[in-house]
Amino acid sequence: MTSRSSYLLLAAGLPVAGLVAWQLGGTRGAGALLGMLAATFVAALGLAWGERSRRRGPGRPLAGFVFTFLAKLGLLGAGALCLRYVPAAGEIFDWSAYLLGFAAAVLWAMLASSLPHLRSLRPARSSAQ
Amino acid sequence: MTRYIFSPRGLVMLAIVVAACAVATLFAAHHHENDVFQQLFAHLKPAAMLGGDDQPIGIHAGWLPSLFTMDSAGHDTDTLVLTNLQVFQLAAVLFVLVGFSGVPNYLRTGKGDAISKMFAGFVLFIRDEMVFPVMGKEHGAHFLPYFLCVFFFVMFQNVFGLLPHSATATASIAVTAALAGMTLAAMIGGGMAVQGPIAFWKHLVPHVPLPLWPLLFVIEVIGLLVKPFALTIRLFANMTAGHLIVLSCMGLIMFFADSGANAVAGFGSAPLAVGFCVFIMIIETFVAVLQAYIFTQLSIIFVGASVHPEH
Repeated sequence: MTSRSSYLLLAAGLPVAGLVAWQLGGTRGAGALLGMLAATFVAALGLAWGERSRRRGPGRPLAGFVFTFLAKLGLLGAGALCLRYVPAAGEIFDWSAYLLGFAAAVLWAMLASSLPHLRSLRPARSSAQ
Repeated sequence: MTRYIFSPRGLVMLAIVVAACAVATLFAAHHHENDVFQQLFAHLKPAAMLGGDDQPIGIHAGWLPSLFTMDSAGHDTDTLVLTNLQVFQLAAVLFVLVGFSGVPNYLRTGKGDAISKMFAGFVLFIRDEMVFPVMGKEHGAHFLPYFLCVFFFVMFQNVFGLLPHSATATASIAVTAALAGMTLAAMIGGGMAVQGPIAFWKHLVPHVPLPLWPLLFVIEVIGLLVKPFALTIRLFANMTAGHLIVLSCMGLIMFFADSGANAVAGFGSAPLAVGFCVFIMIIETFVAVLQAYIFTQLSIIFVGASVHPEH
């Protein structure tokens, strides 16, 4: 249930990403949309990996978390460098908008994956009372 | 000591630190001030990372509030600039991730290298001596990963700041404010999750006569915000103060050489100044770990008080 809520929250960010891209328009809008989509995709993969590794045993989620973080970092850096130094890509996607879009989507993904976990605190209240 | 460094994990961690120092040295902008003390104190400011054309690497973001785009002098630059602080923040994150990658396996099987054992000792200390006694096992287990992240992230940023050619990210109030903001979010989010969204705000005020309730509510909300503000200032001030003392002592050598109109005064004051710097650096090493402990312990107390309505 928790994971499903996280995926739903992640997916809820996509229309917002489209709206922001539409508002910005042009290369900036396309760059922001690309950044948000890339970050959301990696975050969703990370969530799926984390869920799978939790089932396989304790301790494994850390490895999943590390690789997800490195994947985000790599995609952020590689994407920005490509858009900055490959003229054909730079004409379509603005590299700085890509970075900001990526950062905003990662922040949203962090909230989306952590907010549903707050529910796990609630049973503690009833048992304490 | 050699078994810590000459393990594959140790070498990767060493490479991260060396790479961060090298990147900061090669690409960070140099400060140029007329006064010797201003020149030295400028090392406490974040230095912009320069690109190939000697222009700061950054993103034009004029639409952002000036709080995010101002430089260290307070001028609005309309640009999000990459500074050497971010390099060391990233290094601290990678350092934690690499260092911790063997800890779960060690705790599960009892097998692991020296670094995993050392980190596991820290983890168990934080869990058993800091988190569980304040928050209890039930709530403490939920918040433990956050406190572990905070402790090691702050500690490694503090320690990296003591290395040559490095920068102390926690000597920037923006960094400490962001960290304290996370604690505030944990206080409010955790409190609302455990007590309920309305009950949390209702329980802020103790049982008082109704006319006093609005006044006390405002005072309690201010009290809620003051706690992370105190965290911000404490870490920032402690990390800045130590560096200021060391830089001031180093500046005395140049100051005496200049005002004495000869090099003898400079050379004469050097042994005392350098000796005092070494003494302060030893204290700073202790303070780097101590401040990480204090920041984490206070965060635990604040979050613990939020999730337990009786507090």
